[in-house]
Amino acid sequence: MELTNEIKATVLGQYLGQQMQTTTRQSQGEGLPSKKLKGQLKEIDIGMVDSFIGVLLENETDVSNHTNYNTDQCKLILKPLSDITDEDALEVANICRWNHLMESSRIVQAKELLGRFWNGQTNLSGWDWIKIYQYLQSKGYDLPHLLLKSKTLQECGLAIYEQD
Amino acid sequence: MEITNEIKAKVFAQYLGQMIELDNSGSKVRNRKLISVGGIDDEEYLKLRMGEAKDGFTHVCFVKSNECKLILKNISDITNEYAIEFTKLQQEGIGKNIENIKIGFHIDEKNNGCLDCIIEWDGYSHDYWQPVYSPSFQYLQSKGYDLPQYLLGGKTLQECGLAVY
Repeated sequence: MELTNEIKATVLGQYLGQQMQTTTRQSQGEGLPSKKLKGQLKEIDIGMVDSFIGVLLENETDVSNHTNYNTDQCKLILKPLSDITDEDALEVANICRWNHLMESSRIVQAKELLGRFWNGQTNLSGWDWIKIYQYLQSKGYDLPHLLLKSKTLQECGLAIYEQD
Repeated sequence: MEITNEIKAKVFAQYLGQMIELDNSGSKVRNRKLISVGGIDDEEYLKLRMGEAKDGFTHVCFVKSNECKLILKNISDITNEYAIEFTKLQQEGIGKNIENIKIGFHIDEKNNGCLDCIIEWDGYSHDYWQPVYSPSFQYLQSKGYDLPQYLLGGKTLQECGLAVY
């Protein structure tokens, strides 16, 4: 499966509202210094030009116009699933209806569950799994995606991690 | 749970590339590809761009969410082709050999449209409930099936008036 520009834009679009960085258009020309623009992804466009997608980023100092950027330069700023916070793990446990457990146990079990996210099965319903995935995605965690051949965005060069 | 414009924009963005219809002050447009979503800060209007009309014409529009609807498919109407592909993804996920399997299939309406499969392999029939783990769920979404959304409180887009079948 080829990772077309449309596939990349489609996957990036699922993280609308998360932080993204790109290189400003001026610095994509020869001989100009590179300037990074980082901000919240406010708008995403599959794009009309090959190898480019349209994005609108905003932060406290820069408000960009909706501009076409080289897709390879656009990187979401996500978190690895291994760094899930206790708070987010607790919400996953709540989705799993593990309310009978102590809070500390819920956190441990949720982290263990996510550690084998892509293997095996659990007694969770399909809807539970969808909720967990969508919740983690809304919190900015880097997750495997079928359209990326089940690789994560970071593995495909579409994201970097916060600490990078 | 209030469904804000930001949530609506994020849900529309989940289906980037699918078809959309627009009824904006009597101006009706149908079967146009959704190629851009924005306006997550706006309290009232979504910013959408629709494409692939005649001559490659595209245009941007600012619409209230009740004026635009994604054209999706009811999970109950899943085709055999997609059901088989879906099940193969499930099988890969649990590490089973997908050769020589036979699949029975129906939708569990009482369980948010989850897929209930009866599978035969190794000469045995397995009454086997399949969790919709991520790759298969993404497959269905990429094919334009209407799925429950965490951001919509577990409702589908159609149930929230954001999609038609």
